[in-house]
Amino acid sequence: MSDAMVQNSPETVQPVLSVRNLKVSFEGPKGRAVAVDNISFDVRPGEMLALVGESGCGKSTVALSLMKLLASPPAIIEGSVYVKGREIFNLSKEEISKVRGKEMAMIFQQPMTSLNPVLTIERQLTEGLMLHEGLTRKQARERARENLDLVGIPSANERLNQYPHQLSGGMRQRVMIAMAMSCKPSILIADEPTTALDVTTQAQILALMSGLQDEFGISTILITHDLGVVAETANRVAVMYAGRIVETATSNDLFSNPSHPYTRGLLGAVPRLDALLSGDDMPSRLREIPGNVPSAGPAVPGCPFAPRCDRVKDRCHTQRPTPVELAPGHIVSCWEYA
Amino acid sequence: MLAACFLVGLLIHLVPGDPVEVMVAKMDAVSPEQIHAIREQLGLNAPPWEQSANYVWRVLHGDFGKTIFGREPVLEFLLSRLPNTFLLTICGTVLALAIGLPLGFLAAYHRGSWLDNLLMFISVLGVSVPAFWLGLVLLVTFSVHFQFIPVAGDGPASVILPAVTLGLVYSAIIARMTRSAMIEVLTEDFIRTARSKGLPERLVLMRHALKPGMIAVVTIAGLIFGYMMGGQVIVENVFSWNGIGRVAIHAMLQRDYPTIQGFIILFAAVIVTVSLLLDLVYMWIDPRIIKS
Ligand SMILES: Nc1ncnc2c1ncn2[C@@H]1O[C@H](COP(=O)(O)OP(=O)(O)OP(=O)(O)O)[C@@H](O)[C@H]1O
Ligand SMILES: [Mg+2]
Repeated sequence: MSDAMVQNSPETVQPVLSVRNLKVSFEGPKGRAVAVDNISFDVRPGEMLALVGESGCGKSTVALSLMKLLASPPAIIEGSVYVKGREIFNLSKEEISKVRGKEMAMIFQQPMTSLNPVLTIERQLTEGLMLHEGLTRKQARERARENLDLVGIPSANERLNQYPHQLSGGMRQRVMIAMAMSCKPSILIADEPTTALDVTTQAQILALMSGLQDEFGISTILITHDLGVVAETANRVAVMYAGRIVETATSNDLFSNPSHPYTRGLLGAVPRLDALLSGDDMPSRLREIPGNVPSAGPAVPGCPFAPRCDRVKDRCHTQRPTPVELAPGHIVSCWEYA
Repeated sequence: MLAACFLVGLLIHLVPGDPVEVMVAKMDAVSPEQIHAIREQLGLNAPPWEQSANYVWRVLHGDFGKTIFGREPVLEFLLSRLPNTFLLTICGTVLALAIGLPLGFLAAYHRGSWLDNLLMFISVLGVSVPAFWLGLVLLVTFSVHFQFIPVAGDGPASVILPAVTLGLVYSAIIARMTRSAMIEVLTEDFIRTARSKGLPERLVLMRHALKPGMIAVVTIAGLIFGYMMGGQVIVENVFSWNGIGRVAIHAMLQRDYPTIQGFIILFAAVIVTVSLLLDLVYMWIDPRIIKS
């Protein structure tokens, strides 16, 4: 699976981030539950890769394990992750700290609880700068103020002296973005940055994020439920199902030619890109697919989607589908194409 | 507070016996008439509820009555012992915090490790050992065997043993509280954010986790303070420390009603004051309170 992706990727540029055979399981009372099952993907310089999938398919688990932020135990993490060619899973704690915030930063799903309630915004915005860039307090404050301007927070000087509870949810998520962007990381991981916000704020935050991504050429992994968001902002999409990536394609390819039965199910009856982009008929949330969303459990030998698939064949239950490249960069893991 | 005062007045009459019995037990040849006269004089012949109501009425006018045995004004008598009690409480609390906070913090940081298990095992012992027993053990070991600390009395050196007793007992509770508060805080989302910025674990703990953890500890500390004052009474008696706790036990043995009641009012006042002080501390460390 990984080889197919590495060798056949259309660009020869070195990816900023390469994930190889990432596997995450949780040791629980009922034995090991596999949340992320052997996935591999690349993020190329300056691109925005969307990671989509239903709730519980393991998106956050992927994001957190990339930053080595999952508590282990209970999590058992296997595989390798390369940031600009350097493997980071084998790094010591101290070395990982130098990657976090500096090379790779993260925006979390929960803006209300992700900021420390007892520290000022200034403190929380400057500590990364002082740590990674060796700035003095004064210089860091100045940079923090600029960053707040950048993310569109008015009267930045006053905001710096405030505490998180004095800010609205949208403002807090802007602060989180400013914080993540402060050291101009190569990779930004945004885990459903807008799920907790109201619709207008969602649009503003997304516009802000793609603006910043264009401006600074930061490679972004955007985790989302929202296909409308994907169509508008992402260059490429990886569709996750039950801990696996079942299809990877450019956004255009995915919407015009969804190939995995699960992707087709997600996009519903009208997977037309023009309709999606213009906003008519847009399935803004994932469409219901009959059957239950599986939660992390024992590893399945075959295709995890088989129980819900309308084109299921015998071997889908027993053999893991091998990835197939339908078009350059469009990879599907389904026995229909093998 | 007044209602509590009234109730206490009733409750102390549930204990059999009265001060006059205690008094006359030490004299010989006292006639029943004399006993009756003394009771009349002290107002002890009225039904308990009336005595209690009268008491509340007098307290409202600032009169706490006189002790039955020394015939001294109760309030002055108790207040004169209060500095001793404060000295002991402060030494004990400082010691308890100095031992309990760092150990609880350490246990939380190394949770699940042998160090955590060991510390928590010791703290279980600390919590379950009665203060008087620990006090006696210390007394026998350090004063009787080694004789380098005075057994009892009011001198500056003699505060050491009772303070250590109080400190050890409460450090166990504080260590447990600190540990669980810190563990709770360490699961918060903002701790994950702090780690995602690349802060070293030491900074994550000292800057991001400590303050919220302390807020939780202060909140619970207010609740256990009354409990601590209870331990104080026992320790004062074990070490014959002349604080109000010792006075209270004496008064109870002698059924010295006004002194007991005065003690309880004072005790309650101290607890209320301390919780107010803790609220202030709370406001000072938690920025979310100031606004609302
Ligand atoms: N700490 C944990 N212990 C045990 N199981 C876990 C843990 N964290 C996640 N899981 C399991 O792993 C699976 C994937 O969870 P994850 O949070 O990654 O999903 P998600 O795709 O981010 O969902 P959502 O869209 O709701 O955020 C779930 O089945 C979940 O129950
Ligand atoms: Mg999630």
